[in-house]
Amino acid sequence: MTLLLSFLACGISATGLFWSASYDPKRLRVYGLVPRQRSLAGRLARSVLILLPGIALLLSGSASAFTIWLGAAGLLGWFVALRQPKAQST
Amino acid sequence: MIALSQENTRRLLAVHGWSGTVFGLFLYVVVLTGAVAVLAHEIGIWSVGGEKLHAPMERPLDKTVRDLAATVPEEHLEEVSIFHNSAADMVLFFHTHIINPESGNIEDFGTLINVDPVSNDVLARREGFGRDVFGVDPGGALDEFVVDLHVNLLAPSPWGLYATGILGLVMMIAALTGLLIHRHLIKDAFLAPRSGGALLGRKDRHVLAGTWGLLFAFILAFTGSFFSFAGAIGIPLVAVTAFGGDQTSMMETLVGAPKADDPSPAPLADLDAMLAESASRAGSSADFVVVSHWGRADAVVQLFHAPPEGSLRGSKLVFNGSSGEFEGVKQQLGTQPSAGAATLELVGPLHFGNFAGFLSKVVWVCLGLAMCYVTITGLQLWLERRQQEPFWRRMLPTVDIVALGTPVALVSAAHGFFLSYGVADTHLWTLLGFCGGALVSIVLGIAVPAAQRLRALEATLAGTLALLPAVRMSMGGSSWAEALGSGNALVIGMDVLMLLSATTYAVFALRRGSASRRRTEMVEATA
Repeated sequence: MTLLLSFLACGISATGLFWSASYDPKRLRVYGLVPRQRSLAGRLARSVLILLPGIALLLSGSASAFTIWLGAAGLLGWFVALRQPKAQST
Repeated sequence: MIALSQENTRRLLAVHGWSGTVFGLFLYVVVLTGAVAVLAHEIGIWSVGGEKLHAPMERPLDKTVRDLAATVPEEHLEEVSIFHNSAADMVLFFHTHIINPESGNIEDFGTLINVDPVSNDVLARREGFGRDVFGVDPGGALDEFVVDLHVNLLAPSPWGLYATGILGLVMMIAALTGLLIHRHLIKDAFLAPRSGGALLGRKDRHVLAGTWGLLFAFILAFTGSFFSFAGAIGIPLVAVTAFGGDQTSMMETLVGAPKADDPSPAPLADLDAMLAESASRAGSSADFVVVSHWGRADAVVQLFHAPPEGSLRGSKLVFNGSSGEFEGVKQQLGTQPSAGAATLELVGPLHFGNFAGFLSKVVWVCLGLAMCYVTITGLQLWLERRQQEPFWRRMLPTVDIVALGTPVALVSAAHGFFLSYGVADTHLWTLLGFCGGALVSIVLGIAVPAAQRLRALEATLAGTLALLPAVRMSMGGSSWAEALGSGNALVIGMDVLMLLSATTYAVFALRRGSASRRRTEMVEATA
């Protein structure tokens, strides 16, 4: 169960991290790309995607899955940020 | 954003840089060996070709232990430790506590017996002080070496332990000052390394890895320092400050009052029944058992359990040895459940990453390797910024040699182990293998021209890694078919991990070679 919960939580957070990176204005500006328009709802949705799995694991009492998620989220964030942004149509 | 004056930022930057520079290489070795040591149990199983039996503590062991207890001197029955080694052999240490004339300290002295978990045959029997009888098991040489290198840096006790504890504190300082000096931590969290110059890209990579690994750098450093200093300095300090130096009173408060002495003879209750009940209460089978006062009315059996599914904390259950009745769960600190005890119980799992089997270990290994990356890129950044100064220019090769030479030495230690397993002293040859690998790396790092240095070291690492499974099997280690047949898929997994790592480093070396050739061609074309 810990394995399944951890993978699920990491998958959801990874989606949020990818989405956040693709909208990050500084990241895009540095690479000469035009920052995308950001809405409050979008920012909220991205934050929820990143953090909600961790909060849910914590509230469900699965301490081991939460700790794995916490460690893996840091690694996922690093890998996502390391990738250079590609030009996109905005 | 953390607002700091320019002057304070400059000071903190100096603390961050100098602490990392002075201790960085040692810190790197400790963190890298720590990342490897997370898999110490798996390395142990792999090194002996797999376990003879899975979950050996779940099989009936009462009769075996009882029969062996009848063969040891009576004074050795004061305490009995029961656990299993990497090959799943049962290890029993019947011992008492006496002063060791060599050290002047009270130490365990007794009879250590290794038992085959399938046939129950005695495989080895040694008598002596704990430090003499433990650590001579040939099968445990490799995993014990990795752990010892991480904990003591091969320095004598307790100085090695203090040194690694100090390195943990340095890591905490570096993490904290890194947090303070990096003004735009959140804003830059997704800033991909820029390509406007090697130095800028390196700085971005260092900051990025440091940012995402900050929390765990702090956790790993704190828990590591705790292990180094808690026993040697922390507890005596508590005794002096809170208990006025009264160690007995302190022990009664922190551990609980010992059971009243009753030396009258009484047979030990059924160990198997206690193991079964304990496993059912704890949610996992016991992995370590201690029987105190065997054969007496005041006998106590303590059973240590790994965390059950979903939990971070393991447990210690106590049974009355003569009646077999469950007496309660023993707190790690104090006699009642408390926030302090719960926090203390988290230190181990958070440092070792062993709370959820292989998955948590893999995450911890990756976090450790990320910290290695932060340490090395930080050092390279510091040195490259000071390339105009001869001293710092001379230091740059050292960073390359240590960064790749340490894994080469670790892999060479494994070669030393496999080449000597069953034919010579594995403990000695593991150490010699490590020293040999380190020496080869140093010679390569010095002899090979600077432009080829990293490539040569990466190629060496790839070669030594690729040879490891073949050397293991050629020296009598189980083949993949045998490992699969005995349910030891882990052995195959570790071999595959070595081959994949070898491929990765071979690709790095080849790419570096191609880039170097392109640069040479461009220079020639321009000329």
